[in-house]
Amino acid sequence: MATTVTERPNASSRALDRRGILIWGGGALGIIGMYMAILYAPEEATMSHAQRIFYVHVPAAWIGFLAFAVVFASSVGFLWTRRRVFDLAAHASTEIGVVFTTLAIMSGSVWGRAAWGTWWTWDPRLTTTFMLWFIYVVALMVRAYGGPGGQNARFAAVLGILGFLDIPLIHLSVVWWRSMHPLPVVVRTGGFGSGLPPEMLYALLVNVAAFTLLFAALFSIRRAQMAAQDVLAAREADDRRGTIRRAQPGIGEGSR
Amino acid sequence: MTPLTAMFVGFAIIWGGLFVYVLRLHRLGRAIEQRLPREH
Repeated sequence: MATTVTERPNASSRALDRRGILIWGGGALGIIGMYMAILYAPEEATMSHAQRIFYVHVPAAWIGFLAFAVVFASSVGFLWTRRRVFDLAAHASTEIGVVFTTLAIMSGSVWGRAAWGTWWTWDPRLTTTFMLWFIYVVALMVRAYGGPGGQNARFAAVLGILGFLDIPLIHLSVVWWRSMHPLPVVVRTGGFGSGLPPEMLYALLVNVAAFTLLFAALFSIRRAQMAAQDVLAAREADDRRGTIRRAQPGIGEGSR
Repeated sequence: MTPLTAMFVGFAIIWGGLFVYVLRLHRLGRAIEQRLPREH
């Protein structure tokens, strides 16, 4: 079987183009979203301009949830079938979910400083979000210290499933317990976005769309990088075995 | 610095940072994928 190292497969090339579209599309939507968040959306009465953090905080939190939903589905798929493709998807999405949840926690902290006068408080919403972030950081540590495949992948998949169960708890924490965090204004029983003026809702949705495109790009990139690392590692292992065989010709031939 | 300018700077840092991060990962991924063998 002939191999060339310089040429790229067509499917991979198409994937690269698709990723480029996602990145540049996300960037363009991000600029529009930034314009809408700062100049188009009206100033909020009580918090004034500090409320505009909302247009980064909420999309970051939602995309974190989306990423962890992908982790959940991929982890179930991996535990069911033990196929590496599901493990790669779960690993890639865990990383991205942690990035976006970190952004949500940090932007929320700045918002909290402006609204409550403190960077952090052990409020139910904040605590359950911190638990979510922590569970997935642990899942990444399990993968990082254990290496690819095997038992570590199974542990990470179990954590990926357990962590996802925290998301409904986060959403309902402000309803069930006494919380300083504002109640939901978009996903609520009165109708989608019924707690916001239309301009605020449009600005929010454009930012959510921009973050979603960046999530899709990141997911595709990291999954492909991890798959490529697998291929390169397998090739290096083959090369090493070949070197050992050449050095000791009797090994592996079954002649003795 | 007015609050609106501060907000703009914050947004620009977050969006710029995210965009550069994704773009650099994309270029790194392209470099890795070009090292892969092509099977016929």
